[in-house]
Amino acid sequence: MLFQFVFLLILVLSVSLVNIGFAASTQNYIRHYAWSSDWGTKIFAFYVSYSASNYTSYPLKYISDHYVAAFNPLPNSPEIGNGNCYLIGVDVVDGSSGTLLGSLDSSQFINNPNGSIWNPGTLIYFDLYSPYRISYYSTSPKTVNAIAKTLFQLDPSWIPNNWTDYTTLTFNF
Amino acid sequence: MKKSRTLILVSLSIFLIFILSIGAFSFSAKNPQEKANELQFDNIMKKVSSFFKSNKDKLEINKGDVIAEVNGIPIYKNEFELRKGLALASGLQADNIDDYVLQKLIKEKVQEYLASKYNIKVSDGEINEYIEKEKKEFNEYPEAKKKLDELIAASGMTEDEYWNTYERYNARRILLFNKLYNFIVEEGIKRGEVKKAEQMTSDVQNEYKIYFDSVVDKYIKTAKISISDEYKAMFKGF
Repeated sequence: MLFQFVFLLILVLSVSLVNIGFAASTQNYIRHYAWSSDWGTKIFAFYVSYSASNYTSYPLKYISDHYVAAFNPLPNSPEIGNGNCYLIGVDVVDGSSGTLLGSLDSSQFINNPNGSIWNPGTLIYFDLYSPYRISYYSTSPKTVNAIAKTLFQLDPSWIPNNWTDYTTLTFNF
Repeated sequence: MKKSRTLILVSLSIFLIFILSIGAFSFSAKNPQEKANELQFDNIMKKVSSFFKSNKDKLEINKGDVIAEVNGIPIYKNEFELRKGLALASGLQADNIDDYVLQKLIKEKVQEYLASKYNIKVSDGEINEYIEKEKKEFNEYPEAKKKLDELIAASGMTEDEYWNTYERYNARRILLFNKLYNFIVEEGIKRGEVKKAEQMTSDVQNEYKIYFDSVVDKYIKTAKISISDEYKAMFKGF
């Protein structure tokens, strides 16, 4: 009887302390303009998609399973070019104070093992996944921003030719 | 009574200063790289618009002396000077700017020659469609539209002149060279010289571009290039 009670107590406590993870995702439409003496002023547009999961193991909170992809569904003519987009990393910051809670750099990412499905003609800059967790200590709910930082570079003949872009995923837990 | 009114006024002033400081903070929230990029773009645009303003005649690309011919396709002085002026305004540094611009135009004329060899053409309808698509993109991106409007105004051009002269010149080349690129890459795939890719990645696109450039380079080496006598002294590398 006592054993059954202790077992149930442990089960209830475990369930209440560990939240099952939830996935969130966002898609950022990024546009830049640049000048080339050969082709004039042109707009370069592409998307960065970012998804990650969050869960709690009281008093620690985690953000894990980061999927980041950059792609261009309507690439420019190759003469103009489509530049290149690289993942710099992911930062997790406290939404109210801006304090950095943790980060991942590009070396902690691998090619997306699940492989995304792309529309024909889409130019894929990268499609990456990181199993690494970013954890932080928190006893009360708070807003955190997971920010995927990407670098977009064009041929040096374009002015300007490199931009850092930020794609933010907001969690409130 | 007077004391409490003063207190309210002081509190309101402090509140107003606080709100203004927050406002100022959010207005300057553009990151330093964005600001530097914008400044760099604006500086170049000043020089470019000043060039356009005093060289409007150069937009008549196919007029003036012929300075060279590539496989029978003329390079007009106007086109050469337009591209040279824009390259200089854009801060381009080359050992010999004349040779640099001529080399670039030779490559383009070889591409035009190849397009005509393979019966690749661009219609007025296609150019119009491309320009309309570009206009739509600028209209949907107010920051870029503002910069373009500033360039057009400072260049002393009307919007119609910009789109129907300068941008028409760009659009025709972009569409023609893109068709040629697709044709050459498809032929390369058929001949097994490049691999057909399952997915278009940056690496695949770079590989295709290198292949395309190597084909064009082969034709440049065998192209019949003649420079008009009065311009021979200008181009030391030819």
